[in-house]
Amino acid sequence: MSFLEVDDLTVRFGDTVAVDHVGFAVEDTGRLGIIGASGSGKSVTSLAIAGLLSETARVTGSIRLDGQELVGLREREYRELRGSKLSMIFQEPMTALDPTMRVGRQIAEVIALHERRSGKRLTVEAELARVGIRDPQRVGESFPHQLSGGQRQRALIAMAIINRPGLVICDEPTTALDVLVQKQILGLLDEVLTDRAALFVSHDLAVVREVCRHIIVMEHGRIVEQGDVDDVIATPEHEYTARLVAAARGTL
Amino acid sequence: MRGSSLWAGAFLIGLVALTAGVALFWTPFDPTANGPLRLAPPGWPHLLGTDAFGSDVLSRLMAGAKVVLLVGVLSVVGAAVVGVPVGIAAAMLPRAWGEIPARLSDILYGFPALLLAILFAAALGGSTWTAVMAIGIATIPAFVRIARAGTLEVLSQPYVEAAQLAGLGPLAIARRHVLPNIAPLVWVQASVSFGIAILSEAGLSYLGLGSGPDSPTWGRMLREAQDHLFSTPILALWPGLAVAFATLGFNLLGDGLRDVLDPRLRERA
Repeated sequence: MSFLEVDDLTVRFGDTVAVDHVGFAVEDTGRLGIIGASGSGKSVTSLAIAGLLSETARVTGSIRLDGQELVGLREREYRELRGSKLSMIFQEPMTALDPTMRVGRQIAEVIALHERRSGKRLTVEAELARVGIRDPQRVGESFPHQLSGGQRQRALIAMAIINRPGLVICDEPTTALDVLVQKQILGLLDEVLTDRAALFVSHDLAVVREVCRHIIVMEHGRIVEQGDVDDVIATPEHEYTARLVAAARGTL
Repeated sequence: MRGSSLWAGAFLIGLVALTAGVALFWTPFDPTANGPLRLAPPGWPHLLGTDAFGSDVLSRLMAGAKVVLLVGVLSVVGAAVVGVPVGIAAAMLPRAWGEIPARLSDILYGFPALLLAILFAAALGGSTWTAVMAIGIATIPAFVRIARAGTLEVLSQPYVEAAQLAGLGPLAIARRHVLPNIAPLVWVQASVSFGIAILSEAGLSYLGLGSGPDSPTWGRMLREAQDHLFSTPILALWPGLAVAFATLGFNLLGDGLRDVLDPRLRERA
């Protein structure tokens, strides 16, 4: 049995079908890239797994995480799960950190939750050092706007892995960063995600190829193609994938 | 420029507070005593002159500062303490539940402070406390609205999702993330509401629904001065200036506090 199993997942907003009968699976330490343009349903899919869709969304089908069914789960039960088995890294590291709170306090907040559950003691400095921040003390005492984009994203990655989650969803984790920092962050993600399952959501084929072997391509809420990333790039079967590959040609 | 509005505001409010403090123990004359010298121009011994009843204007102004601080601060703080949590809850509760406090506050918004005060006065009798309660209750919806709108904005931010994903419960999110982020809005609303509260108190006093005739307020002084606006316009000037400065002081203080409380603005400029 896979760690994450998505079956026949459909998400509707009113009459609009955002995700249309989507299914895939990710192993314990597996990685899956989800490629698609804006509006393809890739982000809605990841939000559905994280349980962060708005009340207006109607979710049907099945999402099983470590054997547990997530569709129809109560908010309270989801909260337990998010603390332990599931976390997410967001696209925009500036807005994903509370601007009124020092970075160290935000990390301490998550550590406190973790300690309550596991009893293990962690320090803000050690967690920041884990994600390659050189002066963890200064970064911990800073507000988000005082840090660089790369440092902010590292801090967010630190927050996402404090709970040692089994699954990390990365939603465009490097899109807001410049190319050099992108490389470093991808390297860091590659390292911290080695012993866990991960979903990589991106519109950027080149980025996903850095970290994933297996990808699915989504368009209009459906999976239009899937397989090994190099095979897909070499011989795209679907016309949409072909356009995507052509567009990314310069960066591949 | 940085911090100057905070200090200017603190200075003006400090002046009002100091005046009110002094007036607790000492005023040049008894602010409620009627003297033989009516509508006297500013001079000695009545530095700001006397009003139509021969009372010393400076003494009445000083005594009025007490009422202003009491009514303004208590009603606004009370309204914020009730209104902000209700507004946050209205935004964070599931849609169907959140609509209830939001709509109730809208209904309350429909009643002018004066009308509420008349209701209260009928039940409790006119007093400073009636004014505080009436103005306070009438001010609640403003805080509910601003807190709800601010919270909805904050809830759409990714850092709230990030906090949810870390496993934080709704109460912790409200306290640690929502409240600090809507605090600037609340401060500005409080300073605006304070100005409105001073003016409402003036209106209530005029109708006999606020403080009794024995406690002079700036509003009462303004209304009384109205009768002599053509013969002795200077009578309206003093309480008018006092209201203007107190209101300005709170607005500046609100602005200044917002700048200091918001870490994003703290080191700009």
